[in-house]
Amino acid sequence: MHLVTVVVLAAASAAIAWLAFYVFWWLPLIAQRRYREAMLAFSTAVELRFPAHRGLCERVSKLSVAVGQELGLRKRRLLDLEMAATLRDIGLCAVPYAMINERNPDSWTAAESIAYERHGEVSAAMLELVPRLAHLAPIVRNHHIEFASSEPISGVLRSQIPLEAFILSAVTAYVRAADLQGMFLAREALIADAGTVHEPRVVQALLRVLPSVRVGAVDAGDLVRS
Amino acid sequence: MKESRQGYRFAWLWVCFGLSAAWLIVQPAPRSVPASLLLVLAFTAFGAELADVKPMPKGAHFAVTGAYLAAIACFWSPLAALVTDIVVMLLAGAVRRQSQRAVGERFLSRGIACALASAPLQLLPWNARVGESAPIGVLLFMLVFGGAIQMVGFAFAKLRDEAFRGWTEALVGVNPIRLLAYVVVGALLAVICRDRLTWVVPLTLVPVLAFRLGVMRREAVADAYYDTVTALTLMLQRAHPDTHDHLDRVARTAERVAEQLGLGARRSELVRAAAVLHDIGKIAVDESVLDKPGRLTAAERAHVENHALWGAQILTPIHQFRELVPWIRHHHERPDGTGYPDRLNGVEIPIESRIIAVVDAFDAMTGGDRAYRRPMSQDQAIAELRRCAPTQFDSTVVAAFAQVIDEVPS
Repeated sequence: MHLVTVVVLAAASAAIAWLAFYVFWWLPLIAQRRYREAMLAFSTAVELRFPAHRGLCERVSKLSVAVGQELGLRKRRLLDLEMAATLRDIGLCAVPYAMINERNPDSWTAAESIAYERHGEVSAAMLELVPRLAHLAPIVRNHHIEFASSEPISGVLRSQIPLEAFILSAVTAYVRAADLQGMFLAREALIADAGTVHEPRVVQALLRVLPSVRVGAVDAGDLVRS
Repeated sequence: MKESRQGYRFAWLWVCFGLSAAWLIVQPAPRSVPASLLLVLAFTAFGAELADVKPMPKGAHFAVTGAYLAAIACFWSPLAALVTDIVVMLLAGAVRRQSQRAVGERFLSRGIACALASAPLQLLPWNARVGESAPIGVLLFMLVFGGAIQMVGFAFAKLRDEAFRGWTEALVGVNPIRLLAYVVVGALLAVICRDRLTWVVPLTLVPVLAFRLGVMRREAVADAYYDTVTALTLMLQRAHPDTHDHLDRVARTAERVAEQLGLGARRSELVRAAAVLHDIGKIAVDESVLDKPGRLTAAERAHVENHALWGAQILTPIHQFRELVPWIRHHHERPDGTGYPDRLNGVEIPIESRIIAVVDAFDAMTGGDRAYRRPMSQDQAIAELRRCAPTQFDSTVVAAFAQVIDEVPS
């Protein structure tokens, strides 16, 4: 074989190997890192505006991903679920600061309650303005949807609501209830609401993953990364 | 009138193209590869043309078709390369539904480039060109071909009085990954053609497609950055609806001031991004305090002043914003050391923060986002900036700002 041939083939093989490494390993890794950094920034912003939400984003997103994994969602959908869990409350920025931070929900007027309840819609509208996040809008819009509700807030049929929205709805309700009443009562409420407020399959999956998540045996973030 | 002058100017390019074609026709065409290999090369060239990429959002498309043309020019004849290129361009233009003008321009530039690139081939002895030194011939053709296309692009821009990105950037500042993909495919084709390995030719599309995928993934990473900026500013606008125009004005002016101060194109662009995000910490500020018409209490003032820290805190996790974080944290520092949050003074304050501070203050004074205060005129605001220059604002930045403020559209 000619020397030039050997040199060209060796150099081409090395270049192609490097290109493959760069394209199939390095760039996806960087993309994933940027994705997580962005999520951290969004959750920091929401938690700074509403200090009572501190840690909520992380818990909801980890638990949601664990439930998604249990329900067999693929990696791409798990990433979207994690991002939707982080961004679900960005619409709360449109709700007055003092109303959430300084007043009890019992003292809200009817108009204020409606403004709060619309935060899912507002979050979705904001995401629709960002091309690469617009696909998360249906999940975020319905993240407080009730399973048996005859008139979903977005006016769409139940079959058109993504499973991820039901996961977020159940997980958010569980985490909030666990904060207020403790895990046992939150779990009981979850079981009682299966089939009415929450999607039964989601409740079953949540009940299955709860023990391992509670004792820290499963890090949902690691599940997505693996 | 202008159009007829342009048409006259373009006629010269057609004359050049005619001379190029004549030059290619009179050249000897000693074929050294079978027709089947030529056909496979032509088909693969068409595939490469369709697998083009656009590395920059506003940049030109890039395809490695030149490598296949180089192999045809070296092992068959430059005229065959030109004919192949014309067919490939017409077919690809039809598939992509490109305008006749775009196809015509590419037709002209590739024809002239082909003729220019064939000249150095004549310097190589035929046996060397298709034998041991085949990779040198192919790479030589590709380099001249690529350079000539850039030159013709420059001529087109000149004839149309359009901006061209510049000679050095076009010829020297080529993306190394683009160059690597181009050279790898060219060198491989030289060896393949010399050894008549017809069936291997389509495999050369593998690095082309890998390169394409790489460019698309890089674009996705870059898009994530813009999406993050957009989503964060949307959050701020929802919390404080008056800020949108303010941020836009401050960003545009801050970039111009940075350029005026000689910070360089990349840094000026970063200053623009920092200016867009400088008030992002206000997401966490109570809007009723921020919009309060009267004087703020000490507690309210402390709450509002926290926005610089909060802004830095929100952006710190993001790798791409690592340079911007200190600029945002310190955009309310004062040269006399009485600013916040860290009471830095003079040169301790990043120049980018000093730029944002001046532009932000000017916009606030001229009515920007303070509904409760009567806006000042532009001259009054500049006079106020100059008055406060030694203590509150950087004098050099204020001087640069006064120079550029008339140029920036409001």
